[in-house]
Amino acid sequence: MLEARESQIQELVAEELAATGASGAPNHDIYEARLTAPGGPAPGFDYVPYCIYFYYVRVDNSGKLRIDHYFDCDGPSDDPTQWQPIPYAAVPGRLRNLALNGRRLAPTSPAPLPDHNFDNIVWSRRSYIAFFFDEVNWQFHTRGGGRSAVAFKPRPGAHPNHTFFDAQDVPLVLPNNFTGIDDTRSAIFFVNHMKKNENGNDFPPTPPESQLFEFEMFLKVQFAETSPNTLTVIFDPTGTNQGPPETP
Amino acid sequence: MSLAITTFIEALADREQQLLPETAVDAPIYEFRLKDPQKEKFKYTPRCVYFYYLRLEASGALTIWKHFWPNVDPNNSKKWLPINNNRSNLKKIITERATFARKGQGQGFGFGDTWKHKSYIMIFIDEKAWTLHKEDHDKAPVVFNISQGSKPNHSFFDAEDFVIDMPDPDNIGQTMQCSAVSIVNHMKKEDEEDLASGDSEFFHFDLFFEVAPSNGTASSMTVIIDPTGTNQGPPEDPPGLIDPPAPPPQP
Repeated sequence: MLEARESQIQELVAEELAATGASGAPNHDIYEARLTAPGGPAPGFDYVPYCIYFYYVRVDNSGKLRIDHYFDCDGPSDDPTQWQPIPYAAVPGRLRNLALNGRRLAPTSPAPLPDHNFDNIVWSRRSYIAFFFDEVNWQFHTRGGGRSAVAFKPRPGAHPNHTFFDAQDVPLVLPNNFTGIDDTRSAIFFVNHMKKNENGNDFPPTPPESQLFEFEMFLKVQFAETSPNTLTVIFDPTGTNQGPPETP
Repeated sequence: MSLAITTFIEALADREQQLLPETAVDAPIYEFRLKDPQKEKFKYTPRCVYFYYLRLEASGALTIWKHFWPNVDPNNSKKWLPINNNRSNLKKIITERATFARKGQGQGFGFGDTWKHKSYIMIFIDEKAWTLHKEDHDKAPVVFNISQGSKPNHSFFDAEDFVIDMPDPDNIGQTMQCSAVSIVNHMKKEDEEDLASGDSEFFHFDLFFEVAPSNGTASSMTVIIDPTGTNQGPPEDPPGLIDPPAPPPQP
């Protein structure tokens, strides 16, 4: 039964990836390598982001979802002219720091933003987008496991994926605050190239234009009872690319 | 609406029409069949309950206790009695079963069951912050996911939503409100006949929850859990096997 279920989930993801949006354009897999293409960046996808939109998620003791938003950059956050590009290879290390920072065990830097949900997130910069689930029993699906942590849903009114690529699953070994023993939590990040369409065009300087994306995040949730089985839980956030992207 | 979107929706509608002969119509669980005089094949009142109890542990792990509750004698299905489907009775059963499950007295865990009886399927979530979608919010808590290989719904109807008051373990003496849904599994095939011997139908359904954020001002999140279950025909304990009620005692 479990194998059948997992197979069906894979089919669902495959079906979503194969689906096309209103324009008939393909809905791309976020794991496609563009910035990180083996032979060098794909044409038009060579911009190295200067910032990370980081989403810290956990289930608090009351069962409520805590979703904190952070904006991370290499430089003073109030002076973009001093920001430095963040190399792709440096992102996992920054995510670990952001994850620890998100636990708020000490004064945070960066500080959490006032937003507290996944609805209508607005991205205005070419960036890394990262989700971290601070629960040892909630693990993102992984490409290594033959699945996808994030899949876009090109429903009417929402765009197929033509801008989010270069995804990487990141297991983060962190101290467990209760046991003191390290355990592994999961994160995923990808690059928002802020592209306007399937052809890789950038947003024109004017007029401002926004594009809505709907996506699902897939997690395996462990049963409390001793069991190798897991249940899939799906979150369904939305996000909007607001073009043209701000600089850097 | 743009022309492109309109075209896309029309294309989707066309695709659904093409699939209809294969998949039939995915009927909503809130349709009344037991009480609908036109639905003569849906008049069997279940005599048992498959009860599912969900809770999040402090570790974030998910507890899903389940147990099978027959009305009266668990060892003799011929003596099971019809379970009255009025709301107050169903609510009483959910409350009792949830209280039982809180003590960890389930018979197993997880979903993925094979259902062999016409039954009530009751799902209860023991969390204040997690609420099953409700009919009066125009959202169904259970949706059959045909895209994942599920049969469309032609068997699960007569759903009712409940809010159950339970003792609040975090505030002694107080109660907390938990949500539940009761659905009747009529064990029907697409043609409304009972499943025959050897018939087996796989259902993949999504359970929809609204989960409150820790920040009270933010709107809730939709979280979906995706269990499965299989109807295995023929349904056991058909009406003909049920003993007739005992005659009233003679004065």
